[in-house]
Amino acid sequence: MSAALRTARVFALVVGAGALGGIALPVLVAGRLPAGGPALGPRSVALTLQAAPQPTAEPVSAAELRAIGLLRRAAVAGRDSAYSGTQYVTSWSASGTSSVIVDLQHLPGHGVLARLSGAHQTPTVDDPGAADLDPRALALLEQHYALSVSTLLSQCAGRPAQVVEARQRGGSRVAGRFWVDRANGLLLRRELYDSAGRTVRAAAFVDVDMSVPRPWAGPSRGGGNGQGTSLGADDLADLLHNGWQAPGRLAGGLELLDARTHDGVLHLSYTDGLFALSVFSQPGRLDPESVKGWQAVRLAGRPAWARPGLSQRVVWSGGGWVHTAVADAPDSVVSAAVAAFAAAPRESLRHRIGRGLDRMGSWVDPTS
Amino acid sequence: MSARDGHLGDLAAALVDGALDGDTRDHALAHVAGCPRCWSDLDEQRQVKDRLRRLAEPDVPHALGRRLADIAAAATLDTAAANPAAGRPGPIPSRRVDRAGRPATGPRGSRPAPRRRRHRRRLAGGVSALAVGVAVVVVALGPGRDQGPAVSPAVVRYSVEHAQSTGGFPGADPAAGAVMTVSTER
Repeated sequence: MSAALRTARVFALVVGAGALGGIALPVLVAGRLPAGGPALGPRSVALTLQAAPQPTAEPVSAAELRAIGLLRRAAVAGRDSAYSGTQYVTSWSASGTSSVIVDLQHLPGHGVLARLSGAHQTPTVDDPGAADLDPRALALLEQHYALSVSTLLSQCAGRPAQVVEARQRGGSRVAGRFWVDRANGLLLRRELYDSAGRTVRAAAFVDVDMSVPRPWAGPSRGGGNGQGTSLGADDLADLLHNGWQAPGRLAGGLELLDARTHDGVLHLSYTDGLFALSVFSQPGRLDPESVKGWQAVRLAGRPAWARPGLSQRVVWSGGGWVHTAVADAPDSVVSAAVAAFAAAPRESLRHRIGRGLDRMGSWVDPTS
Repeated sequence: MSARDGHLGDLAAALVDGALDGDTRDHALAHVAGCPRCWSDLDEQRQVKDRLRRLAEPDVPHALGRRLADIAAAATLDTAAANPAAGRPGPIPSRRVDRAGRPATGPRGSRPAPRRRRHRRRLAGGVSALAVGVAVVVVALGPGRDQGPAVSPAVVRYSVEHAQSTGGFPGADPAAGAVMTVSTER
């Protein structure tokens, strides 16, 4: 073999290996799974959003059917009965505690009117349709929790109540309790607990009147408007293709139930039927001024900013995205969300190579 | 409230312990929501209880844990150095070996044949080029300096939208949207 031929072979080998490295890496990078759970491709997201409620892992017993019946009754009563009263709502989290007392009035067909107790503020009315029980969320509740009706007699706001308990399937831990008015089915009190049994959220009527409906003092529609455009599976798949993130499931069992956009922000709703968490994602970098006064924390190994409230609020950013979680859930669930959204968003191979070529071009073109 | 001055008093501890029954608990929590003094007491009690709970759990300091892990790793390396075959399967012998088990390409310690040297050089060249290609792509496709516009999340609006979108969940309050709206307007 001549020296020229050997040199040509070596050159071909070197160039070929370099090209192979150049092709292999972006493929590996583009196919990388984000931390916190398997990434969903467009097809799997489509399945997540369109799926009918999953059947429960275990057969539903008569006791569970009775508990489910009580929850359904509570939802119907919340929508169809007139009531007024005073309710407190308290939530606890690692970042702090928050509590309010609210005067509520509900009139079927009008909605819920709320005003902070003792405050001279304009009451806010909310959409009456929001009181409907979401069948998909109810199915998730049945899937993740064993429901039962406690045999103990209980009272709330001086009214006899039946107590529905939700226990994690495969364990005995009570994760939530609901006090349902024995006479008319209204939900009088509810409490949610974390894995250590600590209350993370409690709301109850301290007094309630269902006898004579008060005249409607509204409406003055508040923040009930503008929840954005609901996304179908195809819309969401397009967003994912362009680098947005939407894990179908979070650690802890919360599943993606709804996706919508509003003013360029993607709003994803997760629940396991009991705990709920929303993630709002938008492209950009976090303006430090916007989290001034917030508590700096580390969640899932990442810096984040937290603020207590009736719902936990956590903001974090990275990879050109800013995420905000709003949660009625234990701290562990919020950490799981941060972990799932902390990984760099998946970007299509075409986009990544195009961006890389642009950057390389900018190095040789001083005007760019 | 049971305390004489109209505040929670000793009930704060019972409330944190979950020792109050339903209606008493509701009235206590409702009182706390409008009373900064009892609010502070309750928060303090809860923090104390959390600290006590953490004390009950053995917690190895991070630095100590790392030193212990280093010692374990060093011990493993020492063992491996003293007995390379320990703990792992032996190498699969080459087909062509001499009586001592060495590859039968020449006497021990001798330089590889010129043809093998060429192969090794090509292999080294290929691996180097592969590494260069990978490095080029890493630089080219790495995160850009521009991470987009500065964003201020509309957290109040998000909180209300969250409450409204989850109002129909079994674990949520049907009036959550209205409650969140008035509470965020404070």
